[in-house]
Amino acid sequence: MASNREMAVKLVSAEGFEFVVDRHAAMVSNAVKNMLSSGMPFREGAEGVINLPDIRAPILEKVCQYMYYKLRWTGTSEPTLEFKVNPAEALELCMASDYLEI
Amino acid sequence: ASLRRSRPRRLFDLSISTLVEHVDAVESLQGVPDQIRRRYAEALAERRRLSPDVLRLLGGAHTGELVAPDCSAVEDDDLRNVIVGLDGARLDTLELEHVGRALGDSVAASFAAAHSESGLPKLATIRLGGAYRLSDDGVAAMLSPAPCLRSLHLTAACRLTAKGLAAVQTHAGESLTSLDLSHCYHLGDSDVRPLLVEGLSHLEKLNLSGLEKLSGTLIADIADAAGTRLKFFDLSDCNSALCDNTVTKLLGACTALQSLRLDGGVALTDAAASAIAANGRRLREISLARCQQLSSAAVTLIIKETPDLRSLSLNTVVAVDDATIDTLATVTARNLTHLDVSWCLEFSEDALGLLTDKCRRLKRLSVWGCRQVTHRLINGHGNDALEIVGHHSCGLGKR
Repeated sequence: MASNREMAVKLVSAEGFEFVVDRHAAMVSNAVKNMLSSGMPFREGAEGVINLPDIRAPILEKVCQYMYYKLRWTGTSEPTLEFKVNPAEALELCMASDYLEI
Repeated sequence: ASLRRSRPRRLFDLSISTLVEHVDAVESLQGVPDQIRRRYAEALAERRRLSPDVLRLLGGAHTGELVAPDCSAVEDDDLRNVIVGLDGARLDTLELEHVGRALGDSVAASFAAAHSESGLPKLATIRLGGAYRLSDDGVAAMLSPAPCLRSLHLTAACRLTAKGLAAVQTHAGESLTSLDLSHCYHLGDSDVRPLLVEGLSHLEKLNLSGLEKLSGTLIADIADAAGTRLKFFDLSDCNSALCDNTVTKLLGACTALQSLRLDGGVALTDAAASAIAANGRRLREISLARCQQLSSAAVTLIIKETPDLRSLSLNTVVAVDDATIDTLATVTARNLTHLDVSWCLEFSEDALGLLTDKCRRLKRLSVWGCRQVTHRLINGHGNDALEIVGHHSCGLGKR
């Protein structure tokens, strides 16, 4: 499936795993939105790649799932499924979501 | 057709909720950034889960902060063990709310003894909320190891007297910039005069809310002594002092004031409002809850003269009408973040809707008792970051 640079964004975890996500989903995160918006002096804006060396892959995966969940269920009727947070991951998810403003 | 729009909970809130539910499984909070640990403590307190074990968890993070927003489930020895074991060299913030049950003179003495040798060189903020068992000696003991305290909150400390306030002057008089004595209802002019008029040479923030015995003369003297140093003054519910005369004198002396709270000023009239408008150029926060005599024109005038306004409470200022709301939307469009128009029925939903569209930075809007506000506004506004509190569809408006 061809996804050109304008449609997709790469989020890179601490271990170097690259998560390719839809640009709109990624923009659910305020921090990502700021980094990608034109005029910002972040290198990420030009290349569509965002390095997140403080976030491990399993956590970043959950973050990406949340991004799609949020995009899907915003502005529609009440969500039928609540987004479940695994207690073992909750603390790291707290820190990641705080950093990403999500 | 229904205009209901759902906004899924933020991932941060979902994660914090999970952490609160499973607090028993959390082994340590080391490495967790201060502001996250603080939000976690607040969430735990809200769910009444701040047990002695949790207090130990919060205190054992080996950082500079111990913030416990609800110590009502904690007893003497639990608190003693935690505050005695804090890292004295790093401690910069100690905030304990609802600490009456746990904090008596004996625990305070243990705290002083444990930290007296090396002192608490970085301790800048002490907050003891509801310490109803603490006597003047206990207050002195809590302050004694901290040589450069900058902020002290001693709220609802009903055993505090002039002697305890003298201890504040002794231990922190030269360094203190912020003092909160709210709800120490029993304190009178003679108790506070030595500290607030003659002492505290660097005071910038003062909260005397609820001190109903203080006279207008004393407030005027405090204002004269502090002058342009004073940036924040809370005189809410100071029933003896809150009159036009005092407010006028206060604003005349403290022209650098950024935050002014006069809640419960039922005696205040448009004269006080004129004084605020004339001298309050630098005001960023104004609270006039329950100042029922103020007219719409007077409030509008205040708004016109305070373009830097970020936070405004007109709770129960019943005369507020569309003219006020329109002026607010125009003048403060760039800066307004908090607005409370609860119990005001004279303005229209459309005017408020226009305000939410213009004030893009608005984060929190309180509309308790505003029958004219309906789903149209709650679901129809375009400001994603705005939290509306006080409408029956919005829940209890958890902070």
